[in-house]
Amino acid sequence: MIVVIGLVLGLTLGWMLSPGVPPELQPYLPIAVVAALDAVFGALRALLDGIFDDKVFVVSFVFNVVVAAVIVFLGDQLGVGPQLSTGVVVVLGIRIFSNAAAIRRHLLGA
Amino acid sequence: MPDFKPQTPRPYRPAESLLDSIGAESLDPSYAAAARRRAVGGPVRWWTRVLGVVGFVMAGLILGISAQQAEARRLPAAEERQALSREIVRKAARVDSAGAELRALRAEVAERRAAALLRNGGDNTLSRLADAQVAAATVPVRGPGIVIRIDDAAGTDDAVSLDPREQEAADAGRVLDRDLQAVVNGLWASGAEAVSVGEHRLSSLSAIRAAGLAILVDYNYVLPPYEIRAIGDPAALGRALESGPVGHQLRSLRDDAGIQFSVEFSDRLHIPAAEPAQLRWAVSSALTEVSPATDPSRQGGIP
Repeated sequence: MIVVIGLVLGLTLGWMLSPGVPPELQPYLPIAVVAALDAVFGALRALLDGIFDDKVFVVSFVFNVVVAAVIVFLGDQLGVGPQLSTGVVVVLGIRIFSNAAAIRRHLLGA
Repeated sequence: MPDFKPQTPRPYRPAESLLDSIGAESLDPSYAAAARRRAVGGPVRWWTRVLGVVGFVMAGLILGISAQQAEARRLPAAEERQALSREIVRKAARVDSAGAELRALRAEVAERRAAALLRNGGDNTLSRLADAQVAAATVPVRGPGIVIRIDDAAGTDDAVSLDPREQEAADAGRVLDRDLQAVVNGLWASGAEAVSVGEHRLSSLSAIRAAGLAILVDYNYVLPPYEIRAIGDPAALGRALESGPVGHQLRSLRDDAGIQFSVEFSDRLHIPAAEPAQLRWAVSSALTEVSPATDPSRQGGIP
């Protein structure tokens, strides 16, 4: 469906074009990746639950990426960059697992 | 300015643990709220669909860029690793050939020296030199002696366990560097003139140490079963094994830890030379001219 097409399109574009990420943004790429994964898993779960909403997806995705980047940036300024980054990754990781479990229940009924 | 008055009274929820609340809210509650709004009947604009697709494309982009960068980082590392290992192989071959060249040159030097000593110093110097060389382990030796083979207790394997109690039990039957040291020292004390462990000749500077589970002789690994050769008076060595501390040590190792050993006497043992040590204090005995060997701060020099 359209969701998958969009994802695949983005993936291919990102891989093929390999646009250079400006060095100022480079440190935030990992955290953006985790936030993107979290948003995608959340969207998949919402789709399977039948309550998917495009606006909510985009807004929450963008907001999570921005908030995560701000937290990492703040952490770098305060000298606790790696620790805060770890915290963000842990929380997003828990959410990813939780959504993945719900998706699994939908798909496999177990 | 947002007003800080409470808006709708929220149902009281008992405090959840942080992990619970993260898990419970993993699906953004906005989805449910939006669904409720849609159920009540709100306009669905066409551009929200496009927005959604654009959002997915963006997510895919981020993932794709990150994956591509990770791939780009992997390639040079792998190439570097391969280049390094090729270099290692090349240099190891170089070391081997240099070692062979070194041995050939040393043999030539020894020949010429023997000839020169015969001419100048007479027989006495030559035999003193031979004795010194045997003592310093710089020449291979042949002669009668004994061979002791020591092995770990039957059933000792190389598996390393993370449980210290289990590891201790597994180690109980293992031959330790201490044991080899005791046997070797006992052999020296009983009159051995040359001793080797594995194929490695022991000199006065040799060390038998343990590194983890392995035993090192100087910087060489030796593996069980350990073969200790000693050249000396077979009768004296035999007596040391019967009634001396060496035999006592070996027998108690066998009885307490199950370590296996066997002894064999031989008339014609051959023990190779040790890797020559560098000369630091040697001074030439006949000062006919100033030679570099008289400078103690210079390593190496005329043997």
